[in-house]
Amino acid sequence: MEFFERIEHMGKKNPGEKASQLLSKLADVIADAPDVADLESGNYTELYVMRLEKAKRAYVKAKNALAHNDPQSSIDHSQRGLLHYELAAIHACTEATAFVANQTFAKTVMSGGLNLEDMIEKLQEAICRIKLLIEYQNSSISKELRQRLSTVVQNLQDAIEAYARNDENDPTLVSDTAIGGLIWSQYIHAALGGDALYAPKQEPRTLRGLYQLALESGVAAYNLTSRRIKDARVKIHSLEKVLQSAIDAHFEGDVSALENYFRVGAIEATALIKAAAKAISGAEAAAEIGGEEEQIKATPSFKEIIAEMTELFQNHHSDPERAFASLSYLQKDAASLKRAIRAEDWQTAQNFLVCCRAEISTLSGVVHYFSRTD
Amino acid sequence: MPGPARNKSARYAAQVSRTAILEQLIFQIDRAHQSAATTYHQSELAESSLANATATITEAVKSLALGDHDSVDRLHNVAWFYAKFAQDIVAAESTEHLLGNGRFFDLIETRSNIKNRLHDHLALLSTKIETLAQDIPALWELEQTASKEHKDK
Repeated sequence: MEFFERIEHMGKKNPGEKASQLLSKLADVIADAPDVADLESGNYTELYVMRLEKAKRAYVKAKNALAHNDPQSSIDHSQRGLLHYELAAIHACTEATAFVANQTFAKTVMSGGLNLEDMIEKLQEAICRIKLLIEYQNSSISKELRQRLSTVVQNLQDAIEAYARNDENDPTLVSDTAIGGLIWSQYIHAALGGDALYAPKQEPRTLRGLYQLALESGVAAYNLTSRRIKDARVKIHSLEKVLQSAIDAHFEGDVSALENYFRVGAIEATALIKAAAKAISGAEAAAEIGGEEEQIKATPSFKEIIAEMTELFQNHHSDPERAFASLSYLQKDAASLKRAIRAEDWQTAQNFLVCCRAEISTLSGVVHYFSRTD
Repeated sequence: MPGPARNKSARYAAQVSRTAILEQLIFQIDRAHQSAATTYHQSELAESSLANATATITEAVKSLALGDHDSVDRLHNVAWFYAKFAQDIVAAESTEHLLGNGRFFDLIETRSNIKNRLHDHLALLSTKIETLAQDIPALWELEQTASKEHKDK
């Protein structure tokens, strides 16, 4: 053996020997661990018990690994067991007082002074402020706005997951997702009649225009819905489309398109706010209000209900195929039933009626077991 | 090399301490959430955030035992995000409970909400089908018509 190899060999312990030492150390600390009854009341005893149990399980695994001549696995389990014990020891001597924590532990600074952690926290704060506003207003939120908010909550989840993955191939994924969520949060808060969630002037220079456009569009959407202007949905959809296009242009770095969307969006939002103010003061307001109320009260069609149920099963059921099949058959059978009634073909109508009732019964079963299976 | 070894050890100790602090934070929030759930409202989003935070701490402990310190720092932040979000939701609902009308807004569609909506839709479909059924003459009428037709022939 060469001199350096011998030196290296001297520095390293035999894996079997190291595994035995660690296992023995783990056995000692577990044996010496204080009993729960001996701990001071008011400390984190539940966490202490949980970690100590994990340490004991790690000990058993480490012992078995060593018995099966797998020293490396035994070392890993023992090290984890010792770590569980260390955590248990901290919990045992920490008083469970009301917790105040306001820090993240490491920051990833982006260009322009932004950091990913602050952006994620800011998005969390925005979502909670929207929740507080809705609860404070004690009013219902439109289906469209609820869907927007669901997307923002999903943005938060995606941003955290992307942050956890730390994908070097896509370094802007976290910030882009968080920025998208923040801009839409600004819009939703304003569309609910709240103040500016974030003052555009206090935001990073590159994002000021987007925050401003989101605010203006949100204010316009609020004016349209609160004053029940005719075709509000269509106009709001158009505003939202411009805002989304502006966000996309920002991510693509297309400055001229971005400037264009800012201009178009601002003009459209201002025009709609003015139109809403004019409509409510004019004679046509009453008629428009009536029209919108009629629209709201209208019962959804058979097709619309089927579409909404399909969407619900699609998004929330783990195995929606059976429900999809029943909905599809129901839609076809109901159409055939209508045709047979129109043709006064009563026997065929009777047959399709039986089929429709059977499909509804099947769907009823799927809905009944929905919460148990998913 | 004693220098780096000391630094590594200091980092390890700090990370063990942070893991414990985060675990205690999650425990406290979970307690507050459970108490709120039995008293006034159960938030599925807070619940899933807490579950994610706990799962992330488990990952952090595994990485810490393997000595992957950079990964531990990141996982600590992830656990913090989930825990903080759950804490903010629980705090907002506590405010609504104490000062508001007790009308809680769920940020995600809850299972019971979805089930209720499906029930409502199904009831509507059923009503529409039964309305159509009223247009079909009763079975005895059909039989009478059939026998009349038979006699006529």
